[in-house]
Amino acid sequence: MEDRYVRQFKKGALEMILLCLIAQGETYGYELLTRLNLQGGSVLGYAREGTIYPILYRLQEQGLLQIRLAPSPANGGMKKYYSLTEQGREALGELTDFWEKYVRCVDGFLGQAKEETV
Amino acid sequence: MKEEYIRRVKGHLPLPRQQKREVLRDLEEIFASAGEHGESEAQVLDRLGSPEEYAKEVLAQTGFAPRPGKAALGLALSALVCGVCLALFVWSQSGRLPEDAIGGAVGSTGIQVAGGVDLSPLLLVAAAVGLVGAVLFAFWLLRKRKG
Repeated sequence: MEDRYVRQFKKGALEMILLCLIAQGETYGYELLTRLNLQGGSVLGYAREGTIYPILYRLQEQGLLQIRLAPSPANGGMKKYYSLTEQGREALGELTDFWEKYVRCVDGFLGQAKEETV
Repeated sequence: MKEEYIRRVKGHLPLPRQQKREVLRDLEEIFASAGEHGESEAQVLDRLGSPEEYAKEVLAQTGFAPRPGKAALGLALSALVCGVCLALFVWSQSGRLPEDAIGGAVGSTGIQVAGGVDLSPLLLVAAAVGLVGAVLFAFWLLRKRKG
């Protein structure tokens, strides 16, 4: 069972990453999940439907994502196509800014610790 | 299999109606998309885990705070009914003989009190019903917790 801290850490960037992927172009759940796991699975851990779909729903409720329902060719069901709203774009910008500050800050500390142990 | 799976997930989602509908709709889409991309239903089922597990994951993400279930509410109500009726019964018994009754005859007098139905046995019955209800709801609650 993974350490609680590492788990929380991995969760931390997940929403930002999802917004980032969606920012690159309108996409749907299955495609999003596939790309996420292909690119980030080995480090972030394999993302599951039960985790991602509720997050997408929440982001939509918060007004960061908009939905376009289109008929799915396969069986006549509908597919949700996600894209960023204006608010979503702003949120992504803020998250990205914070992330960059965060990384610089943490790297600073880690760099010092490394120097100490040399 | 898919219909059965979705039906079972539905039974484990104590969510507002609209949100529950979305979760189930997403599940349908998951199967449909997987099919489009050449995956079999079995592969998807394997990946999703058991219906209970899937529902649990979804609930964990929604930061869901469980509402008290019917069993818990039933228990609370029954206990309340039982308690109130019991209290009323005890109170009704205590006032049987007015403090200033004259004489306090040992034997019964020939006087009949007109009207004035004695309701206290009813209270006792109500309290008993409440108690039985409380016990039943308690068992139900315990069974739910275990399951």
